[in-house]
Amino acid sequence: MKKTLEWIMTLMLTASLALAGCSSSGNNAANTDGEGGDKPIKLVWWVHESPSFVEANKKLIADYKKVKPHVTIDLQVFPYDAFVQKIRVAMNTKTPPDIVQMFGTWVREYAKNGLLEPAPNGAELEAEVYPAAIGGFQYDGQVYGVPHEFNIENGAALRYPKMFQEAGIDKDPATWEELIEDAKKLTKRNGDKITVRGLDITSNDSIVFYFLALIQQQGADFWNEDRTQVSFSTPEAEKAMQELVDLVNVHKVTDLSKLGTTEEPYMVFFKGQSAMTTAGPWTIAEGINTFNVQDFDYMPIPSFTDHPAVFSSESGWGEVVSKQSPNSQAAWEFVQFMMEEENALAWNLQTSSIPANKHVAEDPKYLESAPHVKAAVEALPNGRWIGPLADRDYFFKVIIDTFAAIAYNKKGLQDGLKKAETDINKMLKSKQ
Amino acid sequence: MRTKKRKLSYSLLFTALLIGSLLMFVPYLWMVLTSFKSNSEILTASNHLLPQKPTLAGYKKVLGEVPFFRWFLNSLSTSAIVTVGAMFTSALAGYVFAKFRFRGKRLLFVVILATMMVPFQIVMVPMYVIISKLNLVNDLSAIVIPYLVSAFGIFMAKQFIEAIPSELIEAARMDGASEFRTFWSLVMPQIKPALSALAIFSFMAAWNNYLWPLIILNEESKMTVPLALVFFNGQNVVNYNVVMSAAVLIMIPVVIIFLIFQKQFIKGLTMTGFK
Amino acid sequence: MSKQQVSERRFIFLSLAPIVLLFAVFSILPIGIGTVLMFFDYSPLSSNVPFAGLKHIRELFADELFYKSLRITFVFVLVAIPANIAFTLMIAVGINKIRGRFWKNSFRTMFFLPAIAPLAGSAVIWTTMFNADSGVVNMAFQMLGLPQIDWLTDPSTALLSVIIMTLWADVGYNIVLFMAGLDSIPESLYEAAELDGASPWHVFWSITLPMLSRTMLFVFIMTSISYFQMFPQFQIMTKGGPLYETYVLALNIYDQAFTYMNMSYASAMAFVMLLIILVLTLIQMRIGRSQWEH
Repeated sequence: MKKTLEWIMTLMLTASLALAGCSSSGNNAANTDGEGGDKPIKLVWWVHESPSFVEANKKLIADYKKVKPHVTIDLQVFPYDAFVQKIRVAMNTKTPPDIVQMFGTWVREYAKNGLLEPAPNGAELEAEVYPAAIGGFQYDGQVYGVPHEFNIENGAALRYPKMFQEAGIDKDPATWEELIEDAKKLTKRNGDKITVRGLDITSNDSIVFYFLALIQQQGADFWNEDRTQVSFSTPEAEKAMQELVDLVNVHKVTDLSKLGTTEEPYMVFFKGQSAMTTAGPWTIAEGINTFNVQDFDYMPIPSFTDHPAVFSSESGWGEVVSKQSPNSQAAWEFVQFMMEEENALAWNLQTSSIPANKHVAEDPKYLESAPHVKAAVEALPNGRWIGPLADRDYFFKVIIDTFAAIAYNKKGLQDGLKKAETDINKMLKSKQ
Repeated sequence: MRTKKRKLSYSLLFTALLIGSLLMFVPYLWMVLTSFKSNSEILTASNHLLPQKPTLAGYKKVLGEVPFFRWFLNSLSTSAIVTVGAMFTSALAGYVFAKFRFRGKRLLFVVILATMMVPFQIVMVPMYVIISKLNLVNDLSAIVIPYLVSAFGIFMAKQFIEAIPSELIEAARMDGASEFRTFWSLVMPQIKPALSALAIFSFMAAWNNYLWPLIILNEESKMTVPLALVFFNGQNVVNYNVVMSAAVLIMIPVVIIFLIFQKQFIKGLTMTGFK
Repeated sequence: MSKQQVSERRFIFLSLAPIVLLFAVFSILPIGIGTVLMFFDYSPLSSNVPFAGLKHIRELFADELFYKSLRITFVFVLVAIPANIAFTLMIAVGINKIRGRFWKNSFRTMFFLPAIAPLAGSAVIWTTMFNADSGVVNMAFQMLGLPQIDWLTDPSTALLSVIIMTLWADVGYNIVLFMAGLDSIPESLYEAAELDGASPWHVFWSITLPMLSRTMLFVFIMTSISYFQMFPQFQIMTKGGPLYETYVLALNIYDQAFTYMNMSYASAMAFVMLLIILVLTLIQMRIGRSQWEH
């Protein structure tokens, strides 16, 4: 019996030792003397899941290996939802990831709490990068990280020219009214059910971008003067929300069956279940590589009014370096490497995202190699930074939920918008 | 007449149960069939139950591109340690509570029992805070240490040990056996059935635990099976044939183990309900 | 103290100390911290923790979503628990009537099989089964000439879909428990009833059910405690949507704590949940006790 005891004890001991071994092979194994040299350094880099982004990131790692063979970069890929939560949880521990490919709008929250290293070349970045792309990275006179892309999610739409032909439409819509008319013609039904959506801008994040853009295109704003509180109880906001709800309930060019699911509008589009949908240019790479779809193009979307088609844009994906990182210098070196014009361009081309750096975006070479993003590049001057949203995902969720409640007739237009305004303002007050 | 009617109702019952149990099996069938579908078949949203062009692409991706065995090993090792630990501590504490007298015994026992009633939602935030203070976030020991003790296990072990005659224990002591020796070689063997039931329970609970690993583990290489599967699902929204392949690979060993130990399993389960 | 007593003391101390320590750190202390936390503003991102007084509790009582998730939790529990118990009892009685060990065991195995799979994994599988465009459920409906349903995205069917999945995943346990309970009813009672010429229905109500009351109480309490805390299928299959029609309290608490990082607010919500479970368990035990006294 005693032997069995010893045996079990040994087993437990070895197992826990093995476990301890496994765990310390993670972040802790990173070399702590951060001073480059030729000692091996291990950097942990967190990114979100998106096939073309992951591929582009892997390529950067492989290229960097050639320049600095002693630096190993451990790429960790997270689904978007988990990513949002995990960086929040991990950044304030003693072993955060060294580099995070963070969404620009989130950066403020971490910068404010002193969890990020400011960029050594902040002033230079402010001069070179589009204001909407860098806005989210700025806090208190410093730039915390380097943006990779100009995130643009509206202003242009994916569409199937073939479906336009079949519906007898021979020119692109020039006004909002024409857009709606075309959408009606493009919508296909089987009984009551929509099989092909004419214009799909009422799923998930699209709703928010359109809601904000339609307000701005009426010449109004949703922020107060100093951007500390929002206002959705204006006639402009009501008109904007009503228009989106009408797409579902009056014009019936789309429905609510994909709302809140993991099937993003661009996936629905590439499965052939919508004729037109707004999406960022990055979805082009997804369509070609993941869905094997070729016969689509990218067209500008007309303004809701006579005003220019302005829209709110977030600061897109970019690199930040953790303050707690023992290898922050090596981490910055890698970030700088990524931002060298040649590498940045390759990254933007592979992900079909819009360069954050003005030089890169305005270089004719860029449009030559990426003709399909033309509509997005032309829309760039209309893009404005969305503003300090504090908790970005809460902000978006409240608007999406409000839209759903109004579209399902669970809430009145004014009540719903008032509630959204109150909820968002409460969050802004406690977190901004 | 009466027997005829009986026969009819018996065959009705039989058929109903047969259909019911086949329906219970549908999700597994679906999982296996989908796992053999090709990427393009899933993308075109075709409505076929059977894969049109069966392929092993999903399995190749699971076995080739993700640390599948790592996930398996993580789950297996942590669940095994939790099981052994919980068995040992439950028996030990159960023995002390059943056969010794000391001050505060009743109170201590009641407090331990009361923790069973507390929903995990109330302890998860503080537990997260404590674990992050101990610097164990994203460490596999974070999903082991808190589960090394089990209030339910202590309760069960105590019930069983109380049934062991005290004279037996006294006799062992008279023979000069140490306290631990008495516990190990006299008490433990007596409560074997209860311990194996507890082992099954702890193992299942640890193997299937989702919420706590979700909170505390971050990196892919640290994940346990259920968490990894959900995570993997998030990474492959589009091509869920891959997810189903992973699901199949995860379910098969579990099902085999269950079929082998079925008898002990069900006996253990009923025991937890009746003591 | 005798030598015997000294070694006894030492044994008690050495064996209980680590165990009690683990309980203290991971069960008792968290309850304390959780209770204290709701009076502060704690965020894992920042190191200062200001006192908030009753702010979170006041917010809680003004929070529409909190009431909504409370309501959804109760709807879920009030539908799923009776359905579970009625269903499992029926199947257990049915399987018990089957002659021949092979079939009896096979049926039990088939019904129990889903219970051994991780709930999270089952939820992933069911999400694809309920998919409106390519799921097997709509395929079957089409074959039977029934309308196509957006199972998980239509507010009127989402909760039902999750309940169906939960029942599938969870009936195994209770079937096994009920079968064991049925086995322990003495055969002689049934023989006596048969001699009296009682109908099967009457036998069920006057013999089977009362004799099962102990099992029933156990099953009822265990199922309620676990159903109140159900989490994976809600988070995986619907994320609480559409229109929060599946937003149970457990998911609301998780979101507040780990998605929006309002950990103090989450603690206040969790505290309410604790109170509810405590009260319900006490009521169930009281009812159970009075039944036994009969």
